[in-house]
Amino acid sequence: MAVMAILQEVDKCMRCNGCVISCKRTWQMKGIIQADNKPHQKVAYNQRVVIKPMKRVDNPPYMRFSCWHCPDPPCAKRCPWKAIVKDTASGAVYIDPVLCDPAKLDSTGNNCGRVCQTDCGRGGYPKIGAGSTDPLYAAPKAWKCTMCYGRAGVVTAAMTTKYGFALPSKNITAVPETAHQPSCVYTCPAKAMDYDTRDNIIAKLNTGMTNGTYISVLGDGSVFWASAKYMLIAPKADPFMEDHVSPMVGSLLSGPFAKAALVPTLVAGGLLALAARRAKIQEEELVAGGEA
Amino acid sequence: MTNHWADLDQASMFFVMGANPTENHPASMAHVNAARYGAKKARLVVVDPRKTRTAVMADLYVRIRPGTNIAFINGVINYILTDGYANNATFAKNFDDWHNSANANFYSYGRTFRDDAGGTGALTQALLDTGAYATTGNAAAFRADTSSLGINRGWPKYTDSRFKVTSGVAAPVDYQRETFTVTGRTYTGFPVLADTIGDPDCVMAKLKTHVAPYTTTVVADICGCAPSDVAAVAQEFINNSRMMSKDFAAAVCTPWDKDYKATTIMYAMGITQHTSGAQNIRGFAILNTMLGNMGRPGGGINALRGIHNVQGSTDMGVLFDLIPGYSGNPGVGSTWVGYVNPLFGNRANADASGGAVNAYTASALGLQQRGFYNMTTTWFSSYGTGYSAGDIDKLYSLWPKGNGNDHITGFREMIAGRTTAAVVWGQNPANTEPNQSMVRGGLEQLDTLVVVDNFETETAACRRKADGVTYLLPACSYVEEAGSVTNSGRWLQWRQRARTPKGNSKADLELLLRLAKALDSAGAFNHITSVWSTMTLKPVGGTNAYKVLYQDQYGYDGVGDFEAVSRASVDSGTVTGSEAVAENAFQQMGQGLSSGGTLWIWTEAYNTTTTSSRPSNLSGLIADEAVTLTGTTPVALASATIMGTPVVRDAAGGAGNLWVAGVDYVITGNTIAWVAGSTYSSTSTVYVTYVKTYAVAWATANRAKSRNNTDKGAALTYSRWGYSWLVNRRVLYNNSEVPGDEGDVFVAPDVVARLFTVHPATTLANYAYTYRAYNTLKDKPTKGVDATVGKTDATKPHKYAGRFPVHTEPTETPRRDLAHVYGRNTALDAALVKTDTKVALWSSAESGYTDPLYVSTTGSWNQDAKDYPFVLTTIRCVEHFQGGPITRNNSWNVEAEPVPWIEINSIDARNAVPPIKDGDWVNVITPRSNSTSDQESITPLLGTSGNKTGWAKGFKARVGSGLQGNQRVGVGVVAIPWHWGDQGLGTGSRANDLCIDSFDANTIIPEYKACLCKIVKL
Repeated sequence: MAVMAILQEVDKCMRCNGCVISCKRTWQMKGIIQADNKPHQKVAYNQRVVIKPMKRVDNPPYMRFSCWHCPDPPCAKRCPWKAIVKDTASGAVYIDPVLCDPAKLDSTGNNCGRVCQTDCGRGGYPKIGAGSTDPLYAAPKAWKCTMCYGRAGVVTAAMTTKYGFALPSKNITAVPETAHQPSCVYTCPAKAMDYDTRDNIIAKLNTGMTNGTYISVLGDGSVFWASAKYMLIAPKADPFMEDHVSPMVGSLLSGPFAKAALVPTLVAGGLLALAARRAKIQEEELVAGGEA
Repeated sequence: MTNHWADLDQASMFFVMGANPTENHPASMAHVNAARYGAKKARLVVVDPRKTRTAVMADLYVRIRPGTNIAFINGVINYILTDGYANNATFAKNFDDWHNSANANFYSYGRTFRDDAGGTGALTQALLDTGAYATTGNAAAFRADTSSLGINRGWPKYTDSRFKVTSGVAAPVDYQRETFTVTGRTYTGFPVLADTIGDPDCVMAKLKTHVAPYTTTVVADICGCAPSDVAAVAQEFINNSRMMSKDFAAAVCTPWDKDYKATTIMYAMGITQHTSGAQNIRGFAILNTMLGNMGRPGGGINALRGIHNVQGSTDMGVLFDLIPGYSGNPGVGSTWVGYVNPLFGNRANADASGGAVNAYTASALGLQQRGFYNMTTTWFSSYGTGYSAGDIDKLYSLWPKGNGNDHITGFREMIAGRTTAAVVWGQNPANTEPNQSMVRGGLEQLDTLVVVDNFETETAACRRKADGVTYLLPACSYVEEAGSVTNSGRWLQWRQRARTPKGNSKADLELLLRLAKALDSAGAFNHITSVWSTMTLKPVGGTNAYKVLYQDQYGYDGVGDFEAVSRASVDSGTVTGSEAVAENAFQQMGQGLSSGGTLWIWTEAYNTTTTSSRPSNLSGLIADEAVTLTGTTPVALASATIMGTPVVRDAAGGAGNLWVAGVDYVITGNTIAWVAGSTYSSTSTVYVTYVKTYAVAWATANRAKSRNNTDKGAALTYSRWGYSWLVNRRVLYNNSEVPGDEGDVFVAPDVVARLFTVHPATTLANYAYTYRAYNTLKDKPTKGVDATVGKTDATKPHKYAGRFPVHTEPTETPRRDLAHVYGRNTALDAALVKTDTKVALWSSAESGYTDPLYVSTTGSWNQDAKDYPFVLTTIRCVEHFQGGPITRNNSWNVEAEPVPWIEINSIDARNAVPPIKDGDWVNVITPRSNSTSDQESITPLLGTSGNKTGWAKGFKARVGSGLQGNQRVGVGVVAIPWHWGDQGLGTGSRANDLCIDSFDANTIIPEYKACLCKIVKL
């Protein structure tokens, strides 16, 4: 088993949200209908993968926002119940829904404090709530992208029963693990995503940067981006927010008021993101409670 | 599509106009990306009123005003023929060589024509050179003067640009014709060819004159773009035309080469949903034919179909004016012979009137004629070839005659009480049809309304009169039933069912057969059985109409357990339920004409073995051999291992013929012979092209099920994946240039693909009777357009809009000055809008012109157009599908796009009173309806006499930001999606209440893409 990774060639992405719907179907996520959503907002808060524009208008490049599967994930280190696991064989960071329990109290009477969310250095990907119709999620749990661990990668009878059979792939001979592509990669109609070993992906990025196929590459862990057209900015900000902060920072850094504006912008952006996420989490738990 | 989806990989430029594939055909983008980010670095050029998500990814985007497509295309053609030609020496030379047939690969001899006595004879170069042709006194008429170019030239293979049209007439309606005699046969009506396209009477010269007024400045004014935009798009076309391709003069194209050039035109509803819809597409045809992009891999004109089986539905004749196989409806008062003769047929048996010698004899009929014979005997009796002429006439009398009502007239007929019952099967007209008050007004008056659908749609829930009855029959979903679907690329593909129908839902086939059984029991087929009683040869299977016509043919008795129906699949195992019935139906259609196959374009789609009887596209050994045939004596070909059916021609280098394997000639083993009775037996030498080795067969006997993706072929034809009509040809009009694909024969039955369509088309029957009247266009602009745009000359009207397209304004237009000059489009002098439709008009005082700017309508509805300052265009999004019954009942899709919105330019939003901000709710108002109270007032709350309220909240504003060029819509245009309605998980205002139901006269497609509206913040 090799460490696997996903590469999104952002120039090919057209934000059709096929990956989003496919992810929801695979993981039995609820569809949460917000009758009065924000204009332009296609982001419901119970998603594992989100496609958003890097700029603040609905124009390319469209980037994939999901857990990066950090090589040394802070969320895994802080979880008191050891529910978050970095699978060194596949590279996936996954959350065990049996061990995860935000309501559980330790010997001193404290809960986990949802540290996986606040400690995420990549924009707060773990989310806590009743995000799936799976009975395991009857009570709020943390969830996020797992690179379809259990679906992709290792094939076991139990996983096949739960998540279906391996999906076809053109690359099975070279890399047997690609027999189980993550559902987002498999679905992508534009074929904008690659699923391969991390070594192969990095080699492809290095080659692409050397021979001019790409002008910009980004990523870490098991999620990478590449473009031949755009200077990419890492999608660090909270996926709950349609406009994330990074591009604003980028434009300000090159502007005349860069230094003066930078600090308040960062602060304001951070507060906004935090407030938005808090509001969503509360809302979502209300929904979960109501439906339970 | 003239080409197919996988073929998009081979384009060097995508010209997308009136389509948004990233959102509406996302799967196509894998192919577009492969070409764009591969070695070819293909270009993506988008022309659209809206900067769609396709446009934001494009290399070049041009914004035009809705409904000005023809002006833009004519401008591009004009620029190519003038500045583009003048400024690119390579292009200019190749353009001339191409149109003047200066290379042997650009023309052909060796066509077989019917002479005046009804006989047929091959006209070869040798025969034409005998001088017999010269006896007409016009030696240069057929071929060019050999002295000027030093080359003999035959028929141009691809275009009629060099054909002469009637001289000295402002609006010529036909080619110049000649009569000549050769080897004792007299031929009349042969078109006369000019030496070069420099001849002022030839089609190309006429085209040049026609588009000359569409200068970049004029086009920029009409379209609202910059003059340089026209030039830039034209330059892209030049750079990616055949003239600039590495294989320009080659006999076989090389699409895999990175310097191969071809432009594919991708269009969808943004082009067709106009009063000028068919003319828009003729503009594409002229442009891509002129540039040599037709019949080329990566080229062609590709309609992106809206649903997976739209192509199949037109093949099946699910239209008010067609029966299956693209035949028109048998006409009122028509006879069997009168109907059959004009169909595509068997040339060998033709008589002088252009039809079959014996139209009642199955073996004398070919192609479309034989398909109609099989349909008649199969669907109104039991299939057989022994019926007498009298019996055939009786069966023909059973065909319904004449056209039904089109979908706009149909609802008016309901209002008038002339239509009293309707079955709505898998459609949602109470959401998808324009001018909803008329649609719902019609549905309300029906005595009986039957809706067959997965969900309770807007149609199933619509308001009904007090004693009207609505039935909702529960159809299962498409994954619960089997059958073939035909995709945009004409590929038949079998859809297996994933499971049996859930709950009480039923497969469409079961519902249909049960309905037939019930109709039979109620006596609806008595007229059929009474005709049978008078026939000499009675149908096999008895006298019960349901048993003979349905049960014996499809296997279901109409009342029992549908799942109990079973058959041995032609491929393997036993299939049951819809798998079995669908295979029965598929076999009936696709088993080949001589076996009784009813669909002539599907011949061989169903076979009994997996072996092909057609050449593969293998790049392997292909032999081209001259063979001398004498009558019916078999002559052996050199190779003993021929595979598939050879292509037989009557001249070396010819591009195909009109003979049909199995009808005209027969291949047995490795021998070839004429069929007994064929008038071809006088031809002695033929050339046979065949594949000597053939390793890859179909994966299945039922070709639609074949999933052989290893035999992709050099030109990505994937000829063993599914089945593509006609005769598995993957690139239409290919003139044998595409390695491995079938050479074109039927679709361009004449020698050329036409730039120039003649009206009335019957004059062509003199020399090519397989050319049919279906190319006649029925629309007509209200204004004549002289060579000088801006002036109107009533003496030079464009009577026949089928010739070259002219710009016309939409029915409702913000440019009254242009409407005055160019007029609007009509149907042969009739208005294209019903008189009960409320339309916005410019009053004569407002317009400043005394002549009427539009047809007068009745009543006090006419509004002054200045009250409606915005052009409303409807759009689709990726998350929802059509009228929305499926996606608005899926919570994931509703989550992604819960409510309908309106896209507004930031300038318009700021200038609105009160100003409109992003996220505001906006009421959209047209003379026909508004998006709030009007909609709710015609939407009932079931079970009560009240109305369903609270769902029509208008549209949520999406106001553009940033540079004008980056905004979704331009100033003066608003766009709204039309997927929403009052039913399902996600509800919202209907767009189609607002839209106008004026339409294109050829296709009866409504003008969804341009009407006038005003917007008010709620």
